[in-house]
Amino acid sequence: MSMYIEMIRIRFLMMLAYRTNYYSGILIYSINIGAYYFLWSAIYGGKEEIQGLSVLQMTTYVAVAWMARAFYFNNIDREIAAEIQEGKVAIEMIRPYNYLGMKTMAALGEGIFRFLFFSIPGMIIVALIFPISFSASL
Amino acid sequence: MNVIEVQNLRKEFKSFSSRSGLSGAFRDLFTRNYKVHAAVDTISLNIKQGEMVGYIGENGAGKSTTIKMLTGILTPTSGSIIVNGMNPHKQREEFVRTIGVVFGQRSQLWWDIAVQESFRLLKKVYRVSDEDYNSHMGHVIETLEIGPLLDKPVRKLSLGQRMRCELAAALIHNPPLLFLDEPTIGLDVLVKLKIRKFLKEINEQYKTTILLTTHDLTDIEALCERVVLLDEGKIIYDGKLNQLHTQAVKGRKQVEFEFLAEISKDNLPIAENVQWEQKDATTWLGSINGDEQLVSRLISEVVQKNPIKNVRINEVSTEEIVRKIYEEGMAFS
Repeated sequence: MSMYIEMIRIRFLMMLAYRTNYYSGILIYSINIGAYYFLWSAIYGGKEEIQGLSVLQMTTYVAVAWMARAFYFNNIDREIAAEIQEGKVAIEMIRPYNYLGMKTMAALGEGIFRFLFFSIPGMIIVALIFPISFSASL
Repeated sequence: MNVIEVQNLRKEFKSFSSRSGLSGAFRDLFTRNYKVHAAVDTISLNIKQGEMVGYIGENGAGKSTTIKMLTGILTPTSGSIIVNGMNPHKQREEFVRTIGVVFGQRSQLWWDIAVQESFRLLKKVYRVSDEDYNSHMGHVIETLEIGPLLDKPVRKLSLGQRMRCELAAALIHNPPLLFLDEPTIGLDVLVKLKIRKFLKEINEQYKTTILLTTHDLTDIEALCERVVLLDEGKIIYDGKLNQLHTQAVKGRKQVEFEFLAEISKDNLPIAENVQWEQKDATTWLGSINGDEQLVSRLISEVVQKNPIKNVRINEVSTEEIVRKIYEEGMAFS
């Protein structure tokens, strides 16, 4: 079990290995959210709401959706494809673990990292730039 | 006790030959021409504990394929493999705990992160206790001189530095059997020597069995008593390295004479089993078909007649022997 936890830790280290990658990731998500914000503002025009949904709610939806994507999206599938194509999977076969189990843990590690260090800080930055409101009621 | 027992091992690859051109590529979508090619062709091999075996052969002779089957990466087409008393690909997870593998062409360390983090993960993977790790790896790190490299990411290491780290990574669980697939590829002399010395040391200290493939025959000379020579998937020689030498050297010796003055062929003794070849004005090369006595007789004859600057008996190097075998096949087995 401890090796799976170690794999999560390794994944954290890999995500932190290139700091430009980390910062540009946050920037790119903010740009994406910004693009959607302006698109939806244009669609709404001057209108207060469409089908009971206000601009503010729409913007919040877009921001939350993008930041949630940061959590559930990862490149593990492509990584596995590349490993097989390049023959690196041979190295994985000489290790005493379950390949897919280890990849699942790597994906979980990436997810946790993205959630804590991408989604949450990204959300704070986005909340400062764009009007967003979180409300429990619909 | 045999660590590796291989019987009639065979591996076939099915490959297709693609048709030429774009239209050919489209035709390949529907029908393909397959060719079956045996990379390893019915080999049998036994290796005892504590042996260091050199596994050599031309490119594409099937060395890596054999190693991949022995480590459980590939499944054999037919034949049986028992390594460390287990069937490598059937009991993979249990089996790989008992072996260490280095592929010179591939890295088993994580590219983006520091070497010590890779070590730490491997330590957990192989369930090595802190005590064992510290005593064993402390020694490994010291002899391979990789202490200062541990906090650097793998991508920043030079090839020689990386290879030493790879070797250390393969030894974290102190395996009784070590497979090395071209571990010295592209390394300079100093690193090579360091690696050789280290391999010798662990072989003596832990009785580690080592199977080594390489194209650098000086590696084999320095490390292995036994060589297995592979050609087109078949074992063509399996035995002592010095025996390969004596067999090949028998009946073919060269003596190089450097004379003080220019000399013509008439001044040299003529015998039916001696062939003369002029290298430059004052240097002649005599190829002798015979034993040591003939050589010394020839030298004395030449020296009596002609003033001499230098005489050198050329020993046939392993490299030359192997080159001959590759080119002409195993004529003397």
